[in-house]
Amino acid sequence: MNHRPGGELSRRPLHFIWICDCSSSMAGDKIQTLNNAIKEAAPLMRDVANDNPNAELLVRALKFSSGAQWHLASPVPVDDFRWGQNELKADGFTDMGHGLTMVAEQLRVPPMSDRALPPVLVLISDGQPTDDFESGLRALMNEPWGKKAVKVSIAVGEDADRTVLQKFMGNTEVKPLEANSPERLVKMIKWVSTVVLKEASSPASQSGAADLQLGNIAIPAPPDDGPSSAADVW
Amino acid sequence: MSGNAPAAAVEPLWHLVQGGATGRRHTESQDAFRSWADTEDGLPAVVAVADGHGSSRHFRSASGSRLAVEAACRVLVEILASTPPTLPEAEERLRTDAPGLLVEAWRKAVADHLNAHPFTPDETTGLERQAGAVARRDVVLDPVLAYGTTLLAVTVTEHFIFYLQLGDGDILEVSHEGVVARPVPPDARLIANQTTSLCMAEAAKYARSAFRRITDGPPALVMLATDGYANSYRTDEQFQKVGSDLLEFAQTGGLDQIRDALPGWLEETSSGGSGDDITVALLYHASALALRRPPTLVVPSRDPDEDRTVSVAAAPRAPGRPVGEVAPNAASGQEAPPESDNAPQDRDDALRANGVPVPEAEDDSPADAAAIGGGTDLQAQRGEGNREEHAPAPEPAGPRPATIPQDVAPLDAAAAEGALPVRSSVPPQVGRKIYFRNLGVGRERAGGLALAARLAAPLPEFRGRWAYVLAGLVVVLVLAVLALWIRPLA
Repeated sequence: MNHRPGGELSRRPLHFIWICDCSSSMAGDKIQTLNNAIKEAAPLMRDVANDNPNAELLVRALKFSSGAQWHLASPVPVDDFRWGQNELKADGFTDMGHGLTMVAEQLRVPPMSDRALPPVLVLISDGQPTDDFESGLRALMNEPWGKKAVKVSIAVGEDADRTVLQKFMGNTEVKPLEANSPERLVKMIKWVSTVVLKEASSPASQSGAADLQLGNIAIPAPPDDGPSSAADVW
Repeated sequence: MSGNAPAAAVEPLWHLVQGGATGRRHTESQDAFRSWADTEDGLPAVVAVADGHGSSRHFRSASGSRLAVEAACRVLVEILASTPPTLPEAEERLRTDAPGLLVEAWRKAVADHLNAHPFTPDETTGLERQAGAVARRDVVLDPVLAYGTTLLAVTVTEHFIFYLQLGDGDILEVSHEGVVARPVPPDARLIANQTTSLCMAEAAKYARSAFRRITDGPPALVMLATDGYANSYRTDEQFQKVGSDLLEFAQTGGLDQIRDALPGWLEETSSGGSGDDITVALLYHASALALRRPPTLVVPSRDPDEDRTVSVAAAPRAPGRPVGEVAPNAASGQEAPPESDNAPQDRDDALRANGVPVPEAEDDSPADAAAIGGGTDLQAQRGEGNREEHAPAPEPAGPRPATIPQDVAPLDAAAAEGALPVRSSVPPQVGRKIYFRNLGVGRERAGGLALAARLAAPLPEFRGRWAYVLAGLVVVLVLAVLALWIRPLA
């Protein structure tokens, strides 16, 4: 009998993008902890990907400070994803809006495929935007994949602007993740890399609201360490 | 196929192949499939596929998809039965009314199901555990959400094809040349895992449709597929190649091989691709499958309506050939259909197939009377569904109402394969006077001419339009004799 009809089979691509604040306020302990946390998260992400053979996990990273640029420009298959060789360094302002605009450009179709899984965008910041955050967010939400993306934000330290981080996440029940200590930041990075990634890599179909802008997946409740404590150092 | 269908004299115009695969994450498919066709002449036919949403708040989507395909068959057949017999009116009615009526029928079916089977505590607490209190509240306030599903449906008649889609999934049309097209306009919002759905408020406004007049010949293949199929390919071009490949495979290997291989192909595709449920319905037009037969000649006549396909060295029909199998052309004259106990019925069907309405009052078989206008569920035909539906006897006059499938058939992919029932081996006579023979329209031609044609039918050389010519000559001759006889008296 004939071979299977159709062309090449392919797993559905799942784009995971770290969006990292590299402003000068992140210098020192924060940026080093962030580097270490992402480094430690890489094997966890591989494990999650291996558990879902129907998703092709591709990782990228963008950094914003005075302007923004891709830290990992090309989507890297998770098996090849390494963080240690070229770590983030902190310096400059907090041009978060610029960063979101650059992400939005990459979420257009093309280069994105319309058969992809909803991308996961993780925004990590410790301060307030120094540029036009709203226009960046608007550019992101103007892209269909920007609307559909699973958006999670991590507030590093008490000075982080939780209002903009919540706007980035949208009107979900989930609040920006709090990371007021190195341990907490590592924990949140790992949580996003595993729990959220797992949910995003096998989303069940669902009806959309009238404007089809509901969150694509139900982000599980994040781990809760209780109220602020003496362990909070940021 | 109806047990009283005269398989010896006619062959199907459309052949249906259906298959499915259950996704990696599911213990059972949440897709559903259903088809319906008129038992008398095979048209109209309705085929529907639905994809129940997998999200936890749609925890009854398997029932929702089943109710959707049933509602689609029922509503589309009802519309066909009550539509005036002109193409513009049919198009207007289907495009305008079908989405709303379908959503209404589905919601009614969901309400009935919910009344008979209220949510259990396990269902609601399970929903809250998986998706939170807000999700539970949403479903309790709007229980239809639990049944969320998409729907793809196609209606084929002799003169048009109507496509209806609500939500994601794919409808492909493949031409005889293997060119693949999407007849239904795209919806740019349908990316990721969110889709428009029958369970949404004002769902009808999200329906997309296409009405295709068969003026230049029908497509070779129509394919309906849930979104798990397209999502398994890297690009849309790679997916669309499925359509052209399936046409080529059918022409070179035959439908039986497609039926045998399809489940395995879909399993492989889901496993190596999306990991999602896949359900596929394939409608092959007989003219496309005819390409694999021995060489044929199309003999033109002065009247383009009268073209006939002539088989050259056609193989004899094997005894017991399943109805739906491509068979030698019975109209060619090269192979006379074997006489059987159904010979009178065979003659009637041959007359009908050639555009000669046969008054139903002349059908003397009670079984036949039940079958005429009766709806047949193709799943039921193939045994596993244990149903062969017969509608109540139709009204003796006026447009013949198409019968509405009433039962609830479980999805059984293995059961869902077969051929749409009987049609003449005569190619579709495109361009002749438009009427819906299957709806009884055109019956005004029944009468003296039809009777004369019927009497002429036993002679193969007088079948079809020649029967009318002969009958006309007889009538003219009688009138002339009468005139000559009356004139001296006057």
